[in-house]
Amino acid sequence: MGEVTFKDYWVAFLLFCATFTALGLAQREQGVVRDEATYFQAAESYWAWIEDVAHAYLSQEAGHPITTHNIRRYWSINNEHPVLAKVLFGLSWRIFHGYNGQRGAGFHPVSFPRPHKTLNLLSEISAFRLPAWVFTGLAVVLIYLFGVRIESRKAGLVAALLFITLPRLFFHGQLACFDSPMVTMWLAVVYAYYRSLESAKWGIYAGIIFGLALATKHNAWFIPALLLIHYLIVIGPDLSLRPLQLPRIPLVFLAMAILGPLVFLAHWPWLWFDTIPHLKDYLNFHLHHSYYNIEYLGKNLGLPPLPISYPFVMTLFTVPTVTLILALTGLWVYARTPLIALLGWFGILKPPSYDSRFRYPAKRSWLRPAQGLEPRIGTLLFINALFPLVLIALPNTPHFGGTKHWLPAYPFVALLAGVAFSRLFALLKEKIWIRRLLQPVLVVAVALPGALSIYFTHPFGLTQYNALAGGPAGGADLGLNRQFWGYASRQLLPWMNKTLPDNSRVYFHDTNYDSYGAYIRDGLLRSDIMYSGMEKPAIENSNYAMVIHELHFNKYDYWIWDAYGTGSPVKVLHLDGVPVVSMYQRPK
Amino acid sequence: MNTGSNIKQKNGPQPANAHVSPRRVFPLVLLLVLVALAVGEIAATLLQHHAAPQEKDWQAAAEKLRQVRQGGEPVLFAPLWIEPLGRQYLGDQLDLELLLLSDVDQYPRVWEISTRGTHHPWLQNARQTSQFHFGAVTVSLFEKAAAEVLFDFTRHIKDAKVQCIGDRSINCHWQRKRFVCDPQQPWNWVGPHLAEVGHRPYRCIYAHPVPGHLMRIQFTDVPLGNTLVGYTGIDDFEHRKMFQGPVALDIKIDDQLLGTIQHQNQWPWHRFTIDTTAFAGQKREVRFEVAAENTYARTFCFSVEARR
Repeated sequence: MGEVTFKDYWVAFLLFCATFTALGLAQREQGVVRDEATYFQAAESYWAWIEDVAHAYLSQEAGHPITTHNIRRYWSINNEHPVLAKVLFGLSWRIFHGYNGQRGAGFHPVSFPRPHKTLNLLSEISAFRLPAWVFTGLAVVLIYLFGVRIESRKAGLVAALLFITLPRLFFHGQLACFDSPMVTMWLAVVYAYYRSLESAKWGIYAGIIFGLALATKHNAWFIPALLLIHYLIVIGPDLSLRPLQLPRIPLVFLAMAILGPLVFLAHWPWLWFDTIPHLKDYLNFHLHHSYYNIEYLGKNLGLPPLPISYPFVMTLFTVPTVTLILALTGLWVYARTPLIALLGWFGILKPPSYDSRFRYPAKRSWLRPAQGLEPRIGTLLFINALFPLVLIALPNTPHFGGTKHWLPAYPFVALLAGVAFSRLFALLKEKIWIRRLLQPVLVVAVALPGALSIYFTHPFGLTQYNALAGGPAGGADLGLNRQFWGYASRQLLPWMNKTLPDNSRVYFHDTNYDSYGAYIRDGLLRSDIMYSGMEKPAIENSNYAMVIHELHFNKYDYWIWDAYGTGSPVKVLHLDGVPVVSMYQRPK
Repeated sequence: MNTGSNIKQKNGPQPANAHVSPRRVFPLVLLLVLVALAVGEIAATLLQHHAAPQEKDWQAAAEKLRQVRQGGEPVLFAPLWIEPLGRQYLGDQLDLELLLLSDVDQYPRVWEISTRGTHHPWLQNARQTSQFHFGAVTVSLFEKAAAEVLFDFTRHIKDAKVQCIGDRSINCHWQRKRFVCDPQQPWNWVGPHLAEVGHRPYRCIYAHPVPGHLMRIQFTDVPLGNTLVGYTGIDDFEHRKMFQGPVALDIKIDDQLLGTIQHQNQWPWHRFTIDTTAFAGQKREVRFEVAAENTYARTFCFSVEARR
């Protein structure tokens, strides 16, 4: 176990800056994904309400802005998701973007009646996205500090680097969506819980952070159950049936039970009226989510039962293999002793000698619920690394969206890998100068596969597959999904601006209207290029049409062939020879 | 507890071969394995990236094909997912109909554009007679025995008589490239169609079954050979995903039922062969009758050829 020093905070700060900068620079080429475009609209609408409220109070205008009518007007957009991340996207947009009222004025969800002063530092898209880079940077910081605490500085550093060089994580880390913020919040709850095992104030923090996690995305609701399982394992050796009495509930769980829902309710104006019906709507949306389509091993997955193997195979083929092997080694590091002990219990192996700094009697109380007990770090990491995958593996869980749904597992995978690296290195008996020389070489070597994969696949992050899969082309051979969310059309915009005649009507396929609007607003797409609509009538009504290549989208190709009388696209975007988007021109 | 001898051994002079003791070598081996894994993954990533076909490879392949391919010869792509790039580079060389084939049985010469050392599954039994390499893109010519098509029903659909037979029979009339059976029901028509079945494109006759009715498509004076070779499918993955139920296709010559295909919802483009040896060399009336118990969203499509 390590202590975090001032130097560690500096290292963490540098890691944060590097992550923030890398994501901020990379996202400039990144397409706007479907959900993100909706969140832009929601963020702007929510922020308009906040401005209304602030303005009413500051100017002491007559009339109360916090009314059901007013909340409904501004907060009904995207009301199936809590709003913490979206409010932050809106705040960032309001402060940093370069506002151009003339360009794309019709694409704003609300009009701003008052002058709109901003710092004019970022494009609108970048300004919306900035909080996501902060969240991802904070995840890297937390991983580093967690690694230092549970193992060593080396473990923390390697874990942080392996985490940010996970290609799929790097892709999602750029976007104004909930997936990357949720990774951070999940990790933060677990970190606070871990600290709360021996600290009362961290119990309170854990409750508040859990509330913020609930305010980020619905999968936070699962976290307390996982932590409870871990806690029961920790106190298992210290439990006694004599005297038989129920233990007091630890503060951390009380805080999560009370503060969590309170923060959740307080943060979301939509729940301030018609609370029960709105909560029901929220739950029903996620409990009965529609089954989107995704390609897996050459088949289009649509309806349940869905294959249990999906998240595991996708992890195998998207996470760098070195990271996975290190993580499995880390698991072995933690599981070795209990496993050998178990085998020893059956007489198969000689039991290992027990050597632990945790000695009885424990000094646990409800405020410091595991004081003096072995905190079972390996179990904590393992549960949190496994559960997000298991949840998606369930045959009735929709598999839409692919890897983004189990991103919260990855900090724990990275930490297991970091611990393994640290322990392996500690075994070295070489002279200190050799070790000092070897250390940076090894750190770079293990982080480089992921970094290279990001470099080669950016900005088509969802077409990325690791070397084990054969890269993007190997992924296509395996019949794995190569696109989602309609974001890849972003790379066609320069060509479209240059090539398309004035007032062209374009069928944008899976790129939704709000993404198109965001491109117009940011000046990335000529404003005379028109969005022809959706589905077959839009193709009929277009003179250019694109298809984003997902297996189930092939039918759009054929609709275009039928409408245009040609099967030859004029432009195909590809990654390492794997087609990503095709663009057709109606023959004159 | 350490014994005195142990302490002495630890602190005393090291034996000459101490540097090869397993306790010292093992961690080194583990780290070497780790480095080897990392280097292997880095190398594989670089190789995979640089092995991708370049634009000049595609252009050279397309140019070669323009020089050596005779008009009307089909071009297949392998693996299938390279097809959009192939279609882009071949451009006007590829007629749309050649992209909608159900098989290449009728062609003696078939071209293949491939990458990654793969071959199109339709060419398993064909003989490769030439091959040209352009970087990562390979152009190959395959030759084989060709089936003779005597009558392509899809191509002659306009000449058919289409009826919707039930409590009251309706004669469907040819309007704007299709037989319209009920203008109030936009799905209720028969005609040539470009269908997506199993996420692949096919040229076929669309014939949606009608509740309580039989959709009859009748061709007269059809020259027959030894077989009728056909395919059936349900168009569009959304219909296959959201709705269920088989569709039956009866194939009759004059009034004689020669075969029934019960096309199941999730089947891919399903091939069938019917022996017509008894009618070979004759011109007969051929009927296709489409029906289903559950007709909702049964966007049925079929394609049949009379072959010698």
